[in-house]
Amino acid sequence: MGSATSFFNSTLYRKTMARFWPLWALYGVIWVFAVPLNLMNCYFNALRWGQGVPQAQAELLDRALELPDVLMVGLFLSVVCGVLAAMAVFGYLYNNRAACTMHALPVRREALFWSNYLAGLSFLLLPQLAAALMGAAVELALLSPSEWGQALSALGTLFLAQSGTALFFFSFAAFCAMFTGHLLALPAFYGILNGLVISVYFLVTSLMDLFFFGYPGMRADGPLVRYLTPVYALGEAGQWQTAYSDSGEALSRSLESPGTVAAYAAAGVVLAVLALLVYQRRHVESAGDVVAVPLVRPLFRYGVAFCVGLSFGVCTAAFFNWTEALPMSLCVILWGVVGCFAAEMLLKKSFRVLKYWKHALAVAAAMTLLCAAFAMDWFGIENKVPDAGAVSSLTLDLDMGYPYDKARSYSGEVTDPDQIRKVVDLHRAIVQDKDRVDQNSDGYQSGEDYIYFGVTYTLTSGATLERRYYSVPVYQDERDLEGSITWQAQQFIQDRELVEDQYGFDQCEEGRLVEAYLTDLYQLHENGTRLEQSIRYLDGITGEELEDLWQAVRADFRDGTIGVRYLFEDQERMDNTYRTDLTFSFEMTSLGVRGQTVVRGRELTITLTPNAQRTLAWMEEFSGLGERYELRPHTPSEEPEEEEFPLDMPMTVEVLGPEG
Amino acid sequence: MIQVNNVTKTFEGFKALDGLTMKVERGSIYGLVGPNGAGKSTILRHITGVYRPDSGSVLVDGQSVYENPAVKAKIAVIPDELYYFASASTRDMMKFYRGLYPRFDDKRYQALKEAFPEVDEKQPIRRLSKGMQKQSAFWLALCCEPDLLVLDEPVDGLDPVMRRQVWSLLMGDVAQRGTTVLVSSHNLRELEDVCDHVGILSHGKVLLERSLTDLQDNIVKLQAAFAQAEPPQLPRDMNILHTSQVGRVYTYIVRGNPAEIKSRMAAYSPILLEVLPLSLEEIFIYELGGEDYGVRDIIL
Repeated sequence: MGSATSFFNSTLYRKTMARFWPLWALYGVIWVFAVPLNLMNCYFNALRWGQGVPQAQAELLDRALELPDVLMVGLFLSVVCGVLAAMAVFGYLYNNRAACTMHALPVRREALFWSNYLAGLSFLLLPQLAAALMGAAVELALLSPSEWGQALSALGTLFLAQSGTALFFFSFAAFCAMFTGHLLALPAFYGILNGLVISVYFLVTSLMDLFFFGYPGMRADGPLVRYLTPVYALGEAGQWQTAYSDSGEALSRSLESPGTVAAYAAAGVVLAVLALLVYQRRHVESAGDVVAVPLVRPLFRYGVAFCVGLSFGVCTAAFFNWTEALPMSLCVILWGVVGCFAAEMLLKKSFRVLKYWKHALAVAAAMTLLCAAFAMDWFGIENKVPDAGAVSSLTLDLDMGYPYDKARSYSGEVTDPDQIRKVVDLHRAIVQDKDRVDQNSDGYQSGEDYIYFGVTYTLTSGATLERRYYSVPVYQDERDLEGSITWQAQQFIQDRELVEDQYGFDQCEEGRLVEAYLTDLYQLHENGTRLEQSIRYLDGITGEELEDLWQAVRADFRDGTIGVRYLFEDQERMDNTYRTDLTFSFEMTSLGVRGQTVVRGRELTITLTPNAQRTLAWMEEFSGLGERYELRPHTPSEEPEEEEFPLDMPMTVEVLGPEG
Repeated sequence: MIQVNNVTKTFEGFKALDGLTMKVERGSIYGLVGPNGAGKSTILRHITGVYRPDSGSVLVDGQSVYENPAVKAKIAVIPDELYYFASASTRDMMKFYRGLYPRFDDKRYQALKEAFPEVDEKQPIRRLSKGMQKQSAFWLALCCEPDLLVLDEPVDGLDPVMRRQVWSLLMGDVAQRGTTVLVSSHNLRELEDVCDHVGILSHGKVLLERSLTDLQDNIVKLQAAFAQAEPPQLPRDMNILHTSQVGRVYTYIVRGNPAEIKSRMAAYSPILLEVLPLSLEEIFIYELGGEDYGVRDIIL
C-alpha cells in the first residue's frame, strides 16, 4: 500500500534500496575496512608482535583517537559516491520510458523525490552508521572503560563530520540532477559546478594577467573562492587537529572547523529543498536533454561560451606567445563564439547550429566589450598605486642586485612608513614608465640590467593589492636621475637596514654557529702553483675563533665594507667584490607542531670584499689566507693563465685537519 | 470517464497538441487512431498524468489527473515501449505495483497465471521475448483492477492466439467491472472488432470522434455502372471523398447518409448500384485524405 503521507512512499524507498544494493554495499565495505577492521587490525597486530594487552590497548587508543584523519579519504568518497548515488536514484529522469512509467505511478512528485532522495542518502549514511557502530563495539570490547569516552568521542566526530560531508555532496548532486536530462551530463555538471568558482576566478585572472602589466598572475584564493569550492573548504575544515603541550603531550583533538562542516550540511538540506522545487517544475519530456530546465538554457549557453572563450583564448594566446591586445582579444572572441556554438549543439542535439548565429553574435559582442575594457584599462587596474599613507604594511619581493649571496633578493614584510613610501615610489616609477619597461623587458640592451619587483599591499581598509613586475629594466645612465626606476631601486639596495634584514644576522644568532666554509677560491701549493678550489671548510679552529670571524663580519658590515649591494654588474662591482663567498652554518632549534624539539640547519652566505679588513685579517691569522689559499677576484688580469689550468683538471676539496 | 478540454502542448516550438478536445464514456472501449505524429502518444501521456498540458485540462472522473495520486491509482497504463527495472522479474514488479496501487489484487495475480502460461514469473523480464514482455505487462496491469486502462499499441508483438486471449480478458473486465479502455493502435482491423468509439487524430486535434456505428453510418461506399460510356455529372452537394474506376464500374466514397445517397444515385439510372460496407481502415484513409494525408500514387 502507498504511504499515508504524500511526501514519502515506502515501496519506492525499499525498491530503490534493493535495486542499487551493490553501490551502498561497496561503500559500506570501504567504511568497514576504514573503521572497525582498522581498529581490530591495530590491536591484534600489536598482540601478534608480542606486545602485552596494555600496549595493544594503548596502540588501539592512539589509532582510535587519530581515526578522524580518515575524513580526508571520506571527503573523496563523499564527492564520488554522492554523485554515483544521485545518478542511481534519479536515473529514471534520463530515460524517456523510465520517466513516463515512474510519473504515471499514483505518487506525487514530492513523494517520488523524497523517497528517492532519502534512499540515495541512505546509500551513504547507513553504511557509515553501521561501520561506526561496529567501530564502537570494537572500542568497547577492547579498550578499558576509562578510555571509552575519548575513543567514542573521536569516532562520533568522524561519523558526524562524514555524514555532514556526505549530506552536502549528495544533495548537491541531487540538485544538479534536476537540471539535466542526460545521465552523463550529471557528473559533468556536478564536477564543473563543484569547481566553477575557482575555475572562473582562475580564468579571469589568467586573462587579466595577459592584459595588465604588473597583474600578479593566475591565482584562485580568498574566502569567496574557498567557500564556493566545497572540496576546498571541506578539505580544510575536516582536518583533524591535535593540540600538544610543551612536553609533547596531546592536550586535545578537534576538527579544524566543525562550524564549516555543519554549515555545509545545512547547505545540503537547502539544496535538497531547492532540488525539489526544480523537480516540481521540471517537464518529464526533457529526458534526454542536456539541460532540462528551459530557464537555465541561456545561462548554460553563455556560461559555456564565456568559459570556453577565456580558457581556450588564454591558452591559444599563450601558445603563440601573443601579448598584444588585439590578437589576444581575437583569440578570446573567436573561442567564445566556438563555445557558444558548441553549447548550442549540446542544447539542440544537432551539429547544424549555424542558424543560431544571433546567440554567437551576442557572445562576440560581450567578449569584445570585455576585451576592450581590459585592453583600455577602463577600471584603472594597471595604474593603480596606493598612497603610502593608505598602506598599513606590505610584503616586498625585490632583486637586491649583486653580488649573488644571501641578500641577492629581498623577501619580507615592511611596516616602516619610510620604507613603505620608498616601495610606493618605486612602484609608481615603474607604472609611470610602463611603456618603456614593457617594451624593453624582453630583450637585453647594453647598459641595462633587470630587476624583479613584487609587492602585496595591505591597506588600512583591510583590502589587499598585489602587483608583480618580473623583468624591470634599469639603466646605468639613469643611476643619478632622481625619480627614475633605476634611482629608486638604487635607494633600496643602499638601505643598509633592509640589506641587514635580508642577510638575517640577528635571526642567525638565535641558533648555534657550527662551522664556516669558503667557496670558489684558489688553493696554493708549496711549489707556487695554485688550483681552483670549489669549497674549503675552515676547520681546525675553535668555537671562539669561529665566533670571532662572525663578529668580524658583522663589524665589517656595520662599517659598510662588506655586504654592499650593486645594481649593475659593472667594473665597480667587479673591483669591490671577490668571487669567493663565505658561508656560516647554524643549527637552529625549535619546537615542532607536536611539541617535540626540531633541529634544522640555516646558512648565511656573504660575498667577501677587498675592503672587509677585519674579516680578511681573521682569515690571514686563523685560516691561512695568503699561505694556503687565496680569494678569487673578478678582475680578468688576475685570473690564472688557461694553459696552466687545463679545463679537465679535477677540482679539489680540501678539508684542513687540526694540523692545518 | 475522460474529458480532455482544449489541450495544447508544444515541444520546443513544435505544437504536438493543438487544442485537442475529446471525451471517453465510462465503460467504453475507445480507439484512438491517427497518422504518425498526430499526437496519440502525447495525449495518452496527458491522460495518464505524465505530461502537464501547456493549456486546457485533462479530467478523469471529473478530477484533474496531473499530480493527483488518487486519480492515477485508478489508471493502469501499458505504453508502447515498456519499462521495467533492470533484472526485475514479473513477480518483483508485482510486489512493486502491489505497494503502489491500492486495489492490486493478489488473487487475480494468481488466477491470471493460467492466462499467461508462457511467462515465467521468476525470470527477469528483460530475458523474455517482446511478446512475453507484453503479456507480463497485461498480467500486471489487469491485477491493478483499474477503472481506466490506457493502452498504446497494446497487442503489438503478440501472436494471434494471445491477441485474442488478451482482448477477451479486457472485454471481460469492461463487461464485468465497467472498466474503460482507451487504446491507441494502427491496427485498425483489430480496433474495429473491439472498439465501440473511435477518435481520429490529425495534427494534434481530434478530427472526428464518434461511435463506430455512427462513423460507419456517415460514410458510404457505392459501386455503380452506367449504360453510357461516360458517368453522369454528379451534383456538387454530394460530398464525394474519392472516385475510382475499373472498366465500366465506378466506386464512390461519399460522406452522408447511405440510404439518402443511394436514392440520389438511383436517379441516374445505373445498370448496377450496390452499397458496400466500409472498414475502419477505409474510413481512416478517406477521412484523412481531406486532411492532406491520403494514400498517394507514387511512381518510382
